[in-house]
Amino acid sequence: MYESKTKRWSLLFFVLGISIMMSSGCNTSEAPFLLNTVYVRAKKNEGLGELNAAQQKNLADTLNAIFGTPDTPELPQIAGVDFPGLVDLEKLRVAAGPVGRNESGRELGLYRKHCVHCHGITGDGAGPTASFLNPYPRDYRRGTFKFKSTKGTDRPTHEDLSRILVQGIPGTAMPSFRILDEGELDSLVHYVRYLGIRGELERRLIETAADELEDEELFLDLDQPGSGIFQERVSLIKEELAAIVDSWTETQVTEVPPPPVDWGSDASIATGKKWFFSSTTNCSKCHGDTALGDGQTNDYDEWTKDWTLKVNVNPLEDLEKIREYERLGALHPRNARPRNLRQGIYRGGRRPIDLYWRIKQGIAGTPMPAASSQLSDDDIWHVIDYVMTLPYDALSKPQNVPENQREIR
Amino acid sequence: MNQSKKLFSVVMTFFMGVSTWVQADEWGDLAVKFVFDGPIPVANPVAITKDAAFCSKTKLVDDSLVIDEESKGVSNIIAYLYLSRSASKPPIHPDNKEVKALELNLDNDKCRFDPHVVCIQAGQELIIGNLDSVGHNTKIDTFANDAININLPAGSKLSQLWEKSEKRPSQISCSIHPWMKAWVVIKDHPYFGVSNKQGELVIKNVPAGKWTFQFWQEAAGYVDDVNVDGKDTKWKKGRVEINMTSQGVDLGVVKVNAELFK
Repeated sequence: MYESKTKRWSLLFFVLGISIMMSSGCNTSEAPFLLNTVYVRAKKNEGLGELNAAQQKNLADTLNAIFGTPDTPELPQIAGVDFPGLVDLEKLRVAAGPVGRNESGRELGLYRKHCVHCHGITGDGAGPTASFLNPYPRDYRRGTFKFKSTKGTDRPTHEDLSRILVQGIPGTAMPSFRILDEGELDSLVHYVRYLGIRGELERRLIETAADELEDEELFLDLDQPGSGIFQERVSLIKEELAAIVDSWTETQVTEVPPPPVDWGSDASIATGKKWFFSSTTNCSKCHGDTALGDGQTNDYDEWTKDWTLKVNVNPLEDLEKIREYERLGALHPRNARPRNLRQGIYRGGRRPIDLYWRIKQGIAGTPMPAASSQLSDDDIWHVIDYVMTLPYDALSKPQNVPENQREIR
Repeated sequence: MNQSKKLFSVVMTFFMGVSTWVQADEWGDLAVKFVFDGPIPVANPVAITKDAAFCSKTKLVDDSLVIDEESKGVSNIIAYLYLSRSASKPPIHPDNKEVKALELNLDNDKCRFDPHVVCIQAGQELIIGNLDSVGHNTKIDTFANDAININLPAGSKLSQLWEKSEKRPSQISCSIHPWMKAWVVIKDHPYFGVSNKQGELVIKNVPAGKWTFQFWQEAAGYVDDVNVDGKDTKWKKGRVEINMTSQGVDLGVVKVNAELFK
């Protein structure tokens, strides 16, 4: 039954110019990709339509027909859409599937061995350990990544993602995977992008379905493949996917000019301090007058806002709605905390260039804004100079409090 | 492409065009007046958590729902022409063609945004200014376009332009001053508008023909629970079908259920 349905899906897509290779062995014990039901609920709370079980299953089937399954990922074969250097099927197959080895002894199932317990099978950042971690693991399905070299909310480069795998993220549960060889790291980067592109298409399809579907209407009704609306939806999938791929290929890397000649001097640090407290940079507004990260502490990141504040659900007041989300697998909302700059722990990396990227471009998905064009490149370097002295400042020295009683932010 | 296919596509184009095809010389205005149906709630003062010395100079209240005491008019209800994916683009009135070249302004003024709602066309320039002596940042959460979040120093300006149409209004906020919120409607046509203090909303020079307009308000979401001419009416997903003629279409006084804003 399942098999014949699967063939129907493939055939239909083939007819419509999307050729999909579906895995033939769909046994029921295989780990499935989970539909983003939190986003489905968010759209309902926003006042769009509520998708019923059949409509949700139809969306999940559509995504599986396009992207395959966690055991057998596929690349959408869509005319006019390719994934140049973004997602390579051979590499996906090394990262995907159950943990094991192939005939030549090559390790397979890397994602499930190293990543899945925190980031989840679907890349939703809600694996079994996620609720015990602070910060929560990254949910890839927005395509938003924080620590990168690119402009504003642009997608990260291959090097950006691979740097995170190699370095880990200091101050969080994300470890370094330096132990893996280059090919393995490469496969994982491809797999993360695959989950990101899949998740982003999923969000857009949910968005459209909740906005456009009538009460019992399916997003892609297999019984009506010749209908105008069916073809319209297929072309919507193509357009959205092409736009998502473009956002990954058209990413703009930030050029980093060399620091000024007086960089590292007392004068440079003093200039940086002046900027830090100015209304041009606004640094102290959120990081606090003491830079302890205690300025603005009641905001949320975009991953959380998507299903709370952006859809008129207040995490502190609409508790019943929050509990509904949590029953669907959402992690309890937590505030985005500005970094305590006196600890000397920099999540996106401690090199000056890392701090330059953070200040110049802001941190995507968080309240941290990009620098104004009124702040010159030299001045950004001066701010970095000042920020890098903060952990060594007298105020940052341990107070006379026993280790186990000190408050850690 | 062989002859019969070519003929088929010509015929199809013709049929697809018919549903929205209009006389380009007939235009009318869409008008509506929204009034609040229920006791007018008191607007809560906002908690000034940052830059209190400057931002407390003016009395700031929650502006997510603004109702005029006298007329009971509901401000900031947004309306825009709703087009399905397959719909052909509406013709643009000659008067509207110049509009796109004009810059629009959004100011950070006394720790609030002015105006509260900006309606802008894709490709039209928005100048975001900070008239205050404190710093702000401008975070705009668009969906189809790249979201932005940029520092806006005291007295500075920045220029912003979006390439793509957005399905729904996008939120503008300042992360430093969490009470500051505004909305931007970005469309690839000029058929949008926002209700004024008296709740009146007019969209000028809509081409004649059948169109669907969608109504949205930030505290309510889609404006779907209304009372028109004494009859309780559901505007599903805030959508209303109209048949525009050169006489214009006046939806009259529309009472909006107070429950919608809770």
